[in-house]
Amino acid sequence: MGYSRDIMNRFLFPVAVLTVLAFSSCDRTRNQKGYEYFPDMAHSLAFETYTPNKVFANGMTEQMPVAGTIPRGIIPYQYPATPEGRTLAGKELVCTLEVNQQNLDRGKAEFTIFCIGCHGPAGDGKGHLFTSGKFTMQPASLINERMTIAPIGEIFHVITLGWNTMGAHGPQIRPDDRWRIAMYVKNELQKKTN
Amino acid sequence: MPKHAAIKRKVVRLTLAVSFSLILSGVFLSATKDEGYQKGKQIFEKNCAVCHKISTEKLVGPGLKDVTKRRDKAWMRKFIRGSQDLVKSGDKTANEVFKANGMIPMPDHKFLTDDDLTNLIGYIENFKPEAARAVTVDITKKDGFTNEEIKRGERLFMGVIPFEKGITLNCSSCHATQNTDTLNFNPSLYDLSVAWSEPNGTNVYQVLSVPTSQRMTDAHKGLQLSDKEIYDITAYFSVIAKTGLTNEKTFPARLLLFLVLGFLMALALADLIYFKKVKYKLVHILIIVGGLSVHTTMAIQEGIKLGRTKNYAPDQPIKFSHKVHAGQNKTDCQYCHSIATYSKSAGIPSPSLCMNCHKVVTQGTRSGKFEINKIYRAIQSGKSIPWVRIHKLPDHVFFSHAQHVEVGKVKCQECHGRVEEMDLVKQAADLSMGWCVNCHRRTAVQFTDNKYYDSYKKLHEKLKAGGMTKVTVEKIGGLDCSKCHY
Repeated sequence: MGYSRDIMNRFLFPVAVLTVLAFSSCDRTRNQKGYEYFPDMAHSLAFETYTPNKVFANGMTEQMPVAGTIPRGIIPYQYPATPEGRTLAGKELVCTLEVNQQNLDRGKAEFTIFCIGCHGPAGDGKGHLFTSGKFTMQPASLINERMTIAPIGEIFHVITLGWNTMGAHGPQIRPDDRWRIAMYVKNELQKKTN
Repeated sequence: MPKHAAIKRKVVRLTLAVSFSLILSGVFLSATKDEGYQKGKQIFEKNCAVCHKISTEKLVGPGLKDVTKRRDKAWMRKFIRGSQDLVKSGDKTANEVFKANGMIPMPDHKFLTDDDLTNLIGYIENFKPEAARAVTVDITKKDGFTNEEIKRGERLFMGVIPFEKGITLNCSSCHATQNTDTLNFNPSLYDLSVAWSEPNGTNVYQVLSVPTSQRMTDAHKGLQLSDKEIYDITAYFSVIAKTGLTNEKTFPARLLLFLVLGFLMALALADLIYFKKVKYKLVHILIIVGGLSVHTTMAIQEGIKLGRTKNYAPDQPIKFSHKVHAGQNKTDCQYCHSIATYSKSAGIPSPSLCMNCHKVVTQGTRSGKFEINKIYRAIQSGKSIPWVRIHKLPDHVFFSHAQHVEVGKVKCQECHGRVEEMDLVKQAADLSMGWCVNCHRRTAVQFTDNKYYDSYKKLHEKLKAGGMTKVTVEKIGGLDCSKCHY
């Protein structure tokens, strides 16, 4: 019996500790990616969208269009971000999309993503950011008298370029979806209250 | 004699009492005045500063410099509480102001008490821009400090030597001095150094005497440093800005285990063949078999991990918390990653998108202004923010967010984990091929009422005949090699 206890003391305890270590610990910190095999197959030789790029002066792969050119599929927005621009856009811009359930549903979905945080589900300016106290200033109501009278083009204009403290959402939302959001505000939110 | 002494004592007591009360009331009076100013400042910054500046400059609303000279104070009180009520009541000035500012109604502030309004108006009336702190040392110096200054700065920062004014607080108890595995929302030593060393960097002297945010005011309470002390600390900054921080040392437990077991096995083998000191061969066999099995297990585990970066959670250039933005503030994932529905990439938002909210929200509860200021600096300098990519598939695999998010309606969380609960984003799935394939086997596609899949005539017939209940991604070629590898 003395012999087996000796083995216990000499080997089993360190082996047990080491085994526990083997299955529990990891030498990698959260900042390290670990090893990889065939890295030449894993990493693109060509520049990817967000990789740094020494070729261009500003060090980025994504570049602005060359001055004086317009990218395919993009219609430049011509109205300035001024009160006059807003009025003019309201007068001249017309929504070419048909008001139907499909467009309204899509408008609601986009509204839920992009507008609800500030303007709230009902469009009354009581969004979560305001009610939770993150914004100290109440965002504008979309369903008051002034907005109900305003033509749909004005809503499109404000989404595109922003207004007062609201930032421009043109870069985030495609034009057709902006129209659908405006359509949803005009045809559902504003009608619900009146 | 005793009478005389008593009178004398009385006189002394009286003078003492009078002078004491005078001093007290003086302190009290100046305190209340100063307190009112500070309270007014807080109210202004919380409620007014988004739209108004106390200068002649117009933001959303007009600049408020000398507004107390232009307008009656009683009128101001009414207007602040409910501007629209005043406009509707036909008040001439109110209507003029309303029209002159583009008919944008000013929100009501009915919750402000009379005292609040007194403080607020007092603050606007007596507003003085924070005077720049007069400093006795050269604050523009960014390089070429002596070794002694650098050493003293390091010791002060680390708390090895106390500050002259005897504060027990030291910098390193809040500002991280190593790259560690924990997440600390205070700027690290390196962050501070970089912010200071930039051409138009932080004026440490100013910031330490007038904290920029609520968080910083709380953390730096009672902290007073002499100019020389700050100077020495900036000397230390100048070094750290170049060298960066060292990484926290991790104990290489697995590697050590591997080596120790290897050594033990070699010993056992040598004893078995040459020395023969241990009688029982069972001991040798146990060591060798046990050691080999642990080695094999480790080899397999490490092999599986090769090229997979599960649990990778690197430090980002800005301590952006998804838990705050997507969780507490309930911002939709697609608000920022807006191209996920129609692009291969989900999109990294540009700093100008951050400004949609951070034009208004200028300080965070845990990081003060330090992290949010990085956005403003990025916009001013036009430099992009070097976010560190976490989820990355090898180049020999094709993956498109559009296909999965828009067509497949896969929730972001299914692949990325519960990002809305992460302060620091961590790769949740291992992104291995087995993981992709399992999901493609399991997941049913929306097959009916979907033009996209009309051409699968046989499958439609089978589905109608009741031969199958659902069509998985696998059934429509989701496991073909060339779907993802080409």
